[in-house]
This record gives sequence, C-alpha cells and structure tokens, in this order.
Amino acid sequence: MVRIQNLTHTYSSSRGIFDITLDIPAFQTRAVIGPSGCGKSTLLHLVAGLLEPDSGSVQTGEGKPVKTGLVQQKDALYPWLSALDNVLLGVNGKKREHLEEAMTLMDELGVAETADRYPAQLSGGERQRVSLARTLILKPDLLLLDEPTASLDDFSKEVLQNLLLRIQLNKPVTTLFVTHSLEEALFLGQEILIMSEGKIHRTHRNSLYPDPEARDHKDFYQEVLNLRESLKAAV
Amino acid sequence: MNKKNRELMIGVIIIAGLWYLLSFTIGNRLIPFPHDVLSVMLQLIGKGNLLLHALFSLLRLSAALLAAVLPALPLGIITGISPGFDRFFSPVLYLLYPLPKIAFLPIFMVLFGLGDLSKILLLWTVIILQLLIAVRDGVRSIPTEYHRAAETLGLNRMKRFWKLYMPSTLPSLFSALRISVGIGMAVLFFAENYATSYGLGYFIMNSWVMINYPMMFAGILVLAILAFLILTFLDWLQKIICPWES
Repeated sequence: MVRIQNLTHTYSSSRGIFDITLDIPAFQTRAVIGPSGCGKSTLLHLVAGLLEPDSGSVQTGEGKPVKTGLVQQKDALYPWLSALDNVLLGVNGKKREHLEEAMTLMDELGVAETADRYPAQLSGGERQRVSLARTLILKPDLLLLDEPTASLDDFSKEVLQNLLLRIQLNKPVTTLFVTHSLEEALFLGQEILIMSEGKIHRTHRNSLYPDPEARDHKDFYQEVLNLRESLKAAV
Repeated sequence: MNKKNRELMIGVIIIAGLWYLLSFTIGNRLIPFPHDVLSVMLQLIGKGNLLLHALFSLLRLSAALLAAVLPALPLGIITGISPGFDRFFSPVLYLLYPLPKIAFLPIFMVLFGLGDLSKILLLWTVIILQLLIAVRDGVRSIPTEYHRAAETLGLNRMKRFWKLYMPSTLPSLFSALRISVGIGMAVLFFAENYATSYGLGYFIMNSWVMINYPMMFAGILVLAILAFLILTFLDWLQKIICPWES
C-alpha cells in the first residue's frame, strides 16, 4: 500500500496541488486525468521526490519511504548509452550480475533485439519500452507513469498500453499514472481520479478493468462518454 | 573516388583556382603560383627540415591542447552543475576570456624561460578558457528529463559524472577543440617568433625576412595542411569517442 497524505505544493495561491490524500492498495493502478495545468504532473513529481512538498507525506502503509520509479513522457534515455546500458543505468553493482535480468525484462517488453542499439536507432515505442524496462528493473514500490504514450503514434500507443496491462495482470506493480487520454485511463486504471485546480474532485471506479479486449466492446466507449461527462462536471 | 575525397578535391581545386587568380592579378613575385610553391614545399620536405618545423609546431600545439582538455573537463562540468561555484567562477572566466593573452608574453618569458614551456603556456591560456566555457555550456544544456532520470534512478555523483555530465559535454568539447586549433595556430605563429629556430611560425617569418616568398608560402601551405590533418584527426576521434552521434 502507498499512502499519500495531505500533500501540498503551491506555485501561487491558485496554482499547485492542495491537500491531496490518496491510498493506493498494493498492486493496484490509479489513473489521474484532468485538464492541462490542473497539477497532474506536479503530483507525480512530488511523489517521485523531484519536488519538495510544502506539507504532507508519501509513505508505505507501514510508514516507510516509498521507492518510486518514473517513466516520463519524453523517454529520457541517455543517447550515448545502448538500450541495454540504459536499462542497467540505475542498477548498482557489477553490470554482469544483472545482465540476465535486464535481458529477460527487455525480452518481456519486446525490445531484447534492440539491446545493442543506441536510442536514436529505436522507434518511439521501443524507446518508451526500454525506458519502462529501465524503471522496472529497479523493482519500485510504486511505478509512476507521466503520460507515457503521449508522444507515440496510435499503433505504438496501443502496443505499449497492452504491454502495461499485461504487466499489471502477470507481474503487478502498484502504479500511479497520469494521462490525457480517457480511453487510456479506462483501459489501464482500476480507479480513475479526476483532478481539477490542484485537487482530486472525483474518483471513478472502473468496472471494465481489467479487460485486454475492452476496446472491442461498445460498453467501453459508453464508459468513455460517461467519464468525459464526469470530467466536464469536475472542471 | 568516394564522396568525401571528391568533396575534398573540389575544395582544393577552388582554393588553387582562387590562388592562381590572385597570382595572375597581383603578380607572382608577391604571390607565387601554387605549382611553384608546391615544388618548393616538396623539395623542402625532401630535405626533411620543413617536416621538422611542422613537427615542432605540432608538438607545441598538441601539448597545449592536451594540457587544456584535462582540467577543462572537470572544471567546466563543476561550473555547469554547481550554481555556487558558477557564481564566482564564471565572472572570472568572463574577465579573463577577452584579454589579449599575447600581451602577457614578456611575463611568461620571465617566469617560464625562453624555451618551449612559455610558448606552450601561452597557447594553453588561450585554449583553456574557450574549452571551459564550451564544457560549462554543454552541461547546462542537458535536458531536464535527463536530470530527472538521474534523480529517479538514484544515480550517485560518480555515476552522474561518468554517465551523464561527461558524455553530454563531449560534442561541445570537440567543437571547441576545432575552434581552438584555428586560434591556436595563429597564436603559435606569433609565439614561434622568439627564442627558437624551429617551428612553422619561425620558418614563415624567417622566409619573409629573407624575402623568399615561395618558401614563405610553402610554410603557410604546410601550416594549413597541418591544421587540416589535426581537424580531420579530431573528426575521427569524435566518431570513435561519440559513436552515438553517427
């Protein structure tokens, strides 16, 4: 369990995030949606430790610090390292000892054959999957995804979304992710948090989760419309 | 002939064409024909003494470049990443950078003697400030996402230095090195005009004083070829050290 309590970070009196409290049970996924500038990324950066909160805390259920892993919108792979070396970047100790683990993970994410290539030689989707492997190898308590599919084409987007759902089903990781896409939020989020003006206004339980075929059903798109209405109401 | 060699050949033909044009219009006593200069140059190379002058110049420039790169990398990186250090160091850099270092030559001569050391140090002062600024700016231009990645992946200082700061500054460092070669050659030409009888600067000025223009131009040509070879070497080295760029 990850417990976010009374988290506040203000840029000005009207900008920032204000008193956010949220429990994410172990191995569950929460999607955060909301209009631009509502504080979604600020929330993620605060949880990741990239920003200092004015007040509040992020802890495990036992009150320990949370080990987070962040996948950013722009993959942020180091261009001078091969895909494999990027995956091993955060690993401590000898590279050799983690080689097999890294290759297995890359294989699961469908990027094993890109191991020796530089990021510039990879497609956008491959880069984002390598970035995901780089984060997952560190076994975070909480996986943070900051609009991971925003810069991808439709096909790569779907591949990555399917992959993320497969991870949630086979090797679940507690996940908090931010997205602009209502479809993505419904496909990947067990609960969807609607944010506006730095606060969580509503929580939407996702009855369609988890269904790898969800996008083939009419119900899914009806649910997208419902979510859009909820979002409009919150904004 | 591959594309690169063809392009080089075209460049040589253009320069030779312009050179012939100047020789014809100004007169070949002042600007000798390229073929005459080439013939003198080959004769002098055959005798070995022109190569010896080039070797002395190359050694002085290489020593200054190497002595500048080694401290410029860590110092430039520290200046780029540490706002505290940058606050006092950058103003010092900006004050020293535009100074005409050649004006301090007498002081260098008194402090370090008339030999190679004072010449190399003079070159060093010109080159190092340029490299420091290039490395500092290289570190400053690292995208925020890379810093965030370093933070969230828990990279320690050593790992950040070797895996983030150092490789990210290398392309800017190579650009600055290429610029330094041009400026270094000009400074070297000046520095080799005192207390030495070896070096292309000495050779060119000596030929000038003796009003032997074909020999003077042969020296200039060798200087240009030497600079071309150093720049080509730097391009090659950059491809080896920064393979991700290609």
